[in-house]
Amino acid sequence: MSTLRGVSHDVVFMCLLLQTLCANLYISPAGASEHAGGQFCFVPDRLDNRGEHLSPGDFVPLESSDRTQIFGSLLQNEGVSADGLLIALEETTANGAAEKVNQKAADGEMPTEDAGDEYEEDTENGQLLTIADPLSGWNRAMFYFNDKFYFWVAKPVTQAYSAVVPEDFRIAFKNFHDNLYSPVRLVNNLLQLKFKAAGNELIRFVMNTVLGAFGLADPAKEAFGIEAQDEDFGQTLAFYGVGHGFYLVWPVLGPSSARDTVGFVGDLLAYPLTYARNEIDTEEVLLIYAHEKINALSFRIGDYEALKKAAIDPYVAVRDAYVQHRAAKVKN
Amino acid sequence: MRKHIALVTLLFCVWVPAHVFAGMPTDDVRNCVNEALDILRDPALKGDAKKQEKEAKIRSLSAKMFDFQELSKRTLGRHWKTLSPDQRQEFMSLYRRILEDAYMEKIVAYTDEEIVFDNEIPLSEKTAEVRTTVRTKTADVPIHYRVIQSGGTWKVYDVVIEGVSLINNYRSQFREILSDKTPEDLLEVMRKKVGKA
Repeated sequence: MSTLRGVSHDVVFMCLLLQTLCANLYISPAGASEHAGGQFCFVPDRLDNRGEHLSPGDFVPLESSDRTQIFGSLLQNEGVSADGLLIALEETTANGAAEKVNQKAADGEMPTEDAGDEYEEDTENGQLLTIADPLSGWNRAMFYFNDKFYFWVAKPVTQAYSAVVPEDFRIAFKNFHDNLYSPVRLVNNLLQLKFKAAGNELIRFVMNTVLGAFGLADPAKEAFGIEAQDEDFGQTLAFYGVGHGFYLVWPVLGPSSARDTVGFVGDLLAYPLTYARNEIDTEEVLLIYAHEKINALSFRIGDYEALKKAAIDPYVAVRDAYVQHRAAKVKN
Repeated sequence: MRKHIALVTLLFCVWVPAHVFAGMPTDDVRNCVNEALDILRDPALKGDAKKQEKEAKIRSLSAKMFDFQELSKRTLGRHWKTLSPDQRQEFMSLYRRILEDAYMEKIVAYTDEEIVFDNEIPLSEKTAEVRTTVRTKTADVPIHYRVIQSGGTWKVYDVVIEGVSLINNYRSQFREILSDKTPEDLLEVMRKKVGKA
């Protein structure tokens, strides 16, 4: 699923802001944290574990870890770990610099007077990721449309769906749809030189398709702790330095950008159903797609509402959340 | 040799940063999160009748958990200094109300997700990031608390959920407003928002 998210997040996707039940993302925080915390995060300088100097964006292959799970050491997700380290390093240095200046400001008579400037400079928590929005007229109109679409169509349909389909089934369906995107993740992990993650994806796809009844179950994760690393073509483009271009909101599909729209289309090339046209027709593909979206939404009803309630300007809030969220995924 | 030891000891005493004595960031965040969970799961506070009592408890906990001044300062960034002291006070209390109102419903409707404390990363002498994962039935949601040392404890000044920083999200909204309006206009927008809520 996530692969098509570049464009396909329905409006609801944005509720990433919430502390709650959102998200169907493939990140492996446990794995990442073992590395970032245990091995690296207290390294004060930009040195990796072999004493080499790093700069942001460097690709750092890691040694196998001491994970004791079966297959764990073989299958550990390398990409996540390495990036966890880089993020940690970037944050450490960026905030370190800013905090020092803030400290100086705090030592002065007016502690808060000048501090604001430094937050603006601060490249980590102060960094304001921005995106060009030359089509804001169109985008705001589509945002308004999607808002109505959510409340008038998507939400009631999803609620009815949830009332009929028990949660366990919906979880199985979610696994099924996620599994269909496995080839997409595989290709994009390869394109981003994340070979271990690509290997994981291959094992996941085979294991879940065969043992997991065409992906309805996720034995690769449940039994072997092999997690997916969510990569899509938008992220691959970003990996090679392509920027967002500009913000673009699609009707129904939701927030995207020029780059991620290209990514969305590109990913269709690796999506299995693209090649099943002889067996199923376009209408059925759309139905499967709609089911995927409704099924995913059934786990996050209420998120968009809360986001909207929290926002001063919901349009800007969603746009910013989109940019921040995508940036975080690119880092991973 | 003894001189050296004395010297080293002295240097150590001087150099040990204050936060060493303030406890660990993870502990402070964990305590607050656990306290919140206790309130949310308290059978005595179940039901609609007790909803107000529950909310009041959560509100008082949020004062303990969050550093709203730091949060406000970092949200407004360089605009912070364009506000008068009175405006800052009002901004802080309005901002807090907006956040609490918006998330209260979600918090109070809290079910039984497992929260895992992964690790903590020092960001600077006075700040750190406590990384947690909320395990839902369908996904692992990374939630990172950025904390600052404040009066002997660590208080939260930013929450980063799936890569989306709360203060940066509000910052881009406020910035858009402040690009062509005054701080007073911004406060008016916020007053309306709170009045409606």
